[in-house]
Amino acid sequence: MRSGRSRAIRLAIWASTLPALLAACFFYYPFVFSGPILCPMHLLLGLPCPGCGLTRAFCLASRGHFGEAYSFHPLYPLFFLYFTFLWGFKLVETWRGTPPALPTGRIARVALLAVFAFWAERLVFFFALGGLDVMTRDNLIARVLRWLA
Amino acid sequence: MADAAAAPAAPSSGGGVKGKVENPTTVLILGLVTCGLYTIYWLWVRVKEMNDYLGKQAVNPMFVVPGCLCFPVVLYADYLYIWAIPEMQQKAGVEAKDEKVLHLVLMLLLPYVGSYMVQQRLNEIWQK
Repeated sequence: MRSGRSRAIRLAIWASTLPALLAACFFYYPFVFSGPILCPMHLLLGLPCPGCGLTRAFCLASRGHFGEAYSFHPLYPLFFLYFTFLWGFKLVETWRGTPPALPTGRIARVALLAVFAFWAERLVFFFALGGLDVMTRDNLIARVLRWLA
Repeated sequence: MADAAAAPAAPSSGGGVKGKVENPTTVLILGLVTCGLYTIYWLWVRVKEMNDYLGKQAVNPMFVVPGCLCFPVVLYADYLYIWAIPEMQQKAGVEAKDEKVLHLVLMLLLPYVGSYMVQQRLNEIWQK
């Protein structure tokens, strides 16, 4: 059984995570368009992954540019809601000592399906709008060859 | 899809339902080829196996989903998973080495290599 003090510390740590994420997005905003590409899929294959654009969308939304944020990742409000849900779940679990009685497996399965369905739809649009050219230009081998030339 | 992939083999001697033995090299290569997406799917399946084996929700699968969206969240899932491996080893009667920090650092810096090493440990448990 955890002591009340230990629980309070854990609760404080968990409570700070979502505000810390929002603060990070707010302060990273000036650098978000010039920062490095961290997505391995984009770096290696030149393809967008399901999360590509999410950092930019969150940074823009943290400054109130909600419409522009939508153009970078149309599902960012849903993902924000999901993160908020996870945050609330952990807070309740830490507070009570037991997780809330929710069908977590089913929720996770639906969320995973949503992520991959979005990715499939994104790839369809990507290739329909000339993504093959982008892929040929932005993959790692093409980048290295350009760098060597 | 996770249910099909994690189809149980047989009840083990020590714990609950045994998981599937996978080739660690395949896990490594598929992780590299798919730029990490397979590693997220792999973790999803392994979490389900672990929860079935231990008979409790050691890792909440909801924290695995944002693997390709928010790295710190999946790192938390990795942490929970890696910290529960000794319990599985104990249950299976396999000698438990303290490699938790090594595995977590690898999952953070080189997730493909981390999943390769974790799969090796899991195979030891399932083959016991």
